[in-house]
Amino acid sequence: MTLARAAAFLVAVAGAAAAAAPERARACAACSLGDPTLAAFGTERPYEGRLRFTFEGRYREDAVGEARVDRVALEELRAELGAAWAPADDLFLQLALPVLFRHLREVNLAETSLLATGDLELRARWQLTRGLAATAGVSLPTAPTARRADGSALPRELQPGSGSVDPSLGVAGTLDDYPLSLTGSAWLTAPTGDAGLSARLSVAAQAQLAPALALRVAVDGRVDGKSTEHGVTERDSGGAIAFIGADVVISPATDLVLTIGGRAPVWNALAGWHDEGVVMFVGVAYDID
Amino acid sequence: MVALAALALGAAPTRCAVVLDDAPGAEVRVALAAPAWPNADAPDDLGLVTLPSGAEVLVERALLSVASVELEPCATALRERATPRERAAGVAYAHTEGGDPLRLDAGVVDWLLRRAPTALGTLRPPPDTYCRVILRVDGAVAGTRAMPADVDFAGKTLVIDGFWRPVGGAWRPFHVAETAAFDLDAPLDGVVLGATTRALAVNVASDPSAWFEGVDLDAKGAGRAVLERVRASLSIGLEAP
Repeated sequence: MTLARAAAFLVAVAGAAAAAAPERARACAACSLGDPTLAAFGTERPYEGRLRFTFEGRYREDAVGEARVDRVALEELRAELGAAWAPADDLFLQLALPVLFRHLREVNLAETSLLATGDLELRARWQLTRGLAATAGVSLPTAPTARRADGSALPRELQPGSGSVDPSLGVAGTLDDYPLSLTGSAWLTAPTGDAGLSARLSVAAQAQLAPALALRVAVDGRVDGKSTEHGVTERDSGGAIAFIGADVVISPATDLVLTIGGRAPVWNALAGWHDEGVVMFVGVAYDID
Repeated sequence: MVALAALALGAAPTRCAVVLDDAPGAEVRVALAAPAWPNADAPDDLGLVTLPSGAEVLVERALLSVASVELEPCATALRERATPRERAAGVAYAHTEGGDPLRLDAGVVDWLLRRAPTALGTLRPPPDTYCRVILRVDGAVAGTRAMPADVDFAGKTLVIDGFWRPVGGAWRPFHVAETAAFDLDAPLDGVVLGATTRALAVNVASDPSAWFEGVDLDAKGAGRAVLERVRASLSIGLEAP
């Protein structure tokens, strides 16, 4: 029964996404880091019927291209609304829809700002043992093609979606020795469009300083394959980057968790001319059941 | 479960994109001025020139390979700049070909068919002070924009075909095919593109009536003489809208 309900849920999501698919494929312009399932699911084991709503606001900076030649500087504010539900004691499903504000500055001082819905994402976490879980997800191409007033498409970097179905697989583990815990995760995305393979690795150590307060120190890394555009390899794509940062996790009330954190790049081996800046985020998770 | 399914069905079709701000940066529009063919009564696909000597030249084809139109910053001579193509060392990358904001690959220009101003492209340069605009005429290569399919233009800079008739003579065909490259430049007098001046128009013009002045198209070396006259007739006009 549980599997049937989960299957119906997946069919509903896939059908809705297919109806909203964009006209053409684009290379993925969004660079992310960390385990995307962590905010929604936490590290604790789910229980059947658990329903959690999440909000995550994230700011990041990205600059791609050679200075004075073809560099574009991007600022992004991403607000993601999510709902997570556990159909069984070992399975958590999440649906998330991002809303993006992007500001792009080109080498000739042209500036464009966009507010748009992004790609709908479906994620799942299957608890294998007490401290080990398998994760999976799929990003569906529901974001629109953003256009100027004259009908021409905005630059690729401003497009709010990847334009392709992007499935992901991952694994997450936790070692718990209260008040300390260590979490590690790996998340591999294999886009079906122009973007290359992307692997995100994350290790976080958390100390529970008080019943309602925890401090987390994290190292996040990402390894990207080369992307293509119209079949041609993009010069400024691929490579690896690592961030280090910290989060403050507060639970001011029962069933409510606030997370405030930031990451700064400490090692940049991205190919070509590609620099990523600081990432700051705030997350809110509220359990209904 | 019901709440999630409803959210899925409701959220997926929610496709909203609003452009909040779209400010163009510095732009240099490069255009080809309509050639001033002296005999406006000739058909659109032919050019007719009557020389001061009374000889007449009927032009059926007039192609010029404009390799590039480039902006030169006052602080940096163009020859010192490595183009993205050179940096790429023969490897093709997206965002690289044609990605130099100071260089426009104009391609093969057909002077005969263009009876109206034609846009060659737009440069989007970084903010800077610019001192020259340079028009480079060089041999066409594979991949050159607007490369003609019905004539072997590879390596050529200029091809002119047609008929001519000396005073008192009969019409006879002529064929000019030259490979010599040359540059033509115009001063920009330190135009500052950036926060204040955002747009500049570069108009490339030529006067076909000057192409054949004093040239005996039957003589050896006539092609080179025509090329020199075409070169002399080219001009670059600048306009700040």
